[in-house]
Amino acid sequence: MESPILDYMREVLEEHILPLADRGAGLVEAPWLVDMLQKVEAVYKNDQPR
Amino acid sequence: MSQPAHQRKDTGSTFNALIQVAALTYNCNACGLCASRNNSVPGEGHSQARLMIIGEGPGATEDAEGRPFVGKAGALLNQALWQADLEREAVFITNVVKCRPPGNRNPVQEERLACYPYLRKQIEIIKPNLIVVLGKVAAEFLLKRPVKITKENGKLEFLPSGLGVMSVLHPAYVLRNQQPAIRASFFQAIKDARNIAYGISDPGLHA
Repeated sequence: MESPILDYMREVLEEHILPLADRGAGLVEAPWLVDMLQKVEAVYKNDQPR
Repeated sequence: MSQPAHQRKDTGSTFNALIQVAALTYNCNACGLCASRNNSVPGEGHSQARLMIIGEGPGATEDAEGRPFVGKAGALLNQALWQADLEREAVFITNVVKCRPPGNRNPVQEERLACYPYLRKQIEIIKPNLIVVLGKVAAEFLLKRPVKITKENGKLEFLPSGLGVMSVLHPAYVLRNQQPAIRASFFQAIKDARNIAYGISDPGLHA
């Protein structure tokens, strides 16, 4: 298990990705969430026991 | 259709489990605080809250009513939650110790440890995304290290278990100081906690 916050934020991010038909890609409609996720991930990695 | 991640229903099992924890506190005599309490204050809120708020211990008003953060500090906390576009009922609010320390002194370590099984069980049941610890006593207890709360207000860190904890000024401290900058930083920290716990941006609805 990683962190409940990170699992949850990724789940929310999934909901904010609009699939682009026939391109196998998606459009992120919440770039602020990507930014926040990256910041929280950085704190998490820094706080993990080495 | 699956339920969006930001919506959680209060289910019977988690609600009932919290009620059972609360019932245990009503008859608890694990430390000396039971001798002077009028009511234990187990906590209240959503049984599957994304955000859990943990203070130090009940005050006189809380002891009289059996509910957490219902005095002046509670009113300020409610205001901060409202400005963060959060309903009080959507979060879970509790304290490190469930009974009022006489004279509003800080609970001693023996009292905190005696009460910890209740808090640990509440966290296990609710499984919050993020815990906000209000004030130095609660922050140091959860983080197990010295905390300079005025310097660390709004700081996010992770416990070894992966649980996210954000240290925030205690609203009673904010009320005592009467400084706009301190008040603003308290309100901002609650908003930041809401953003992380819910994975949403600042709506600025009540700014």
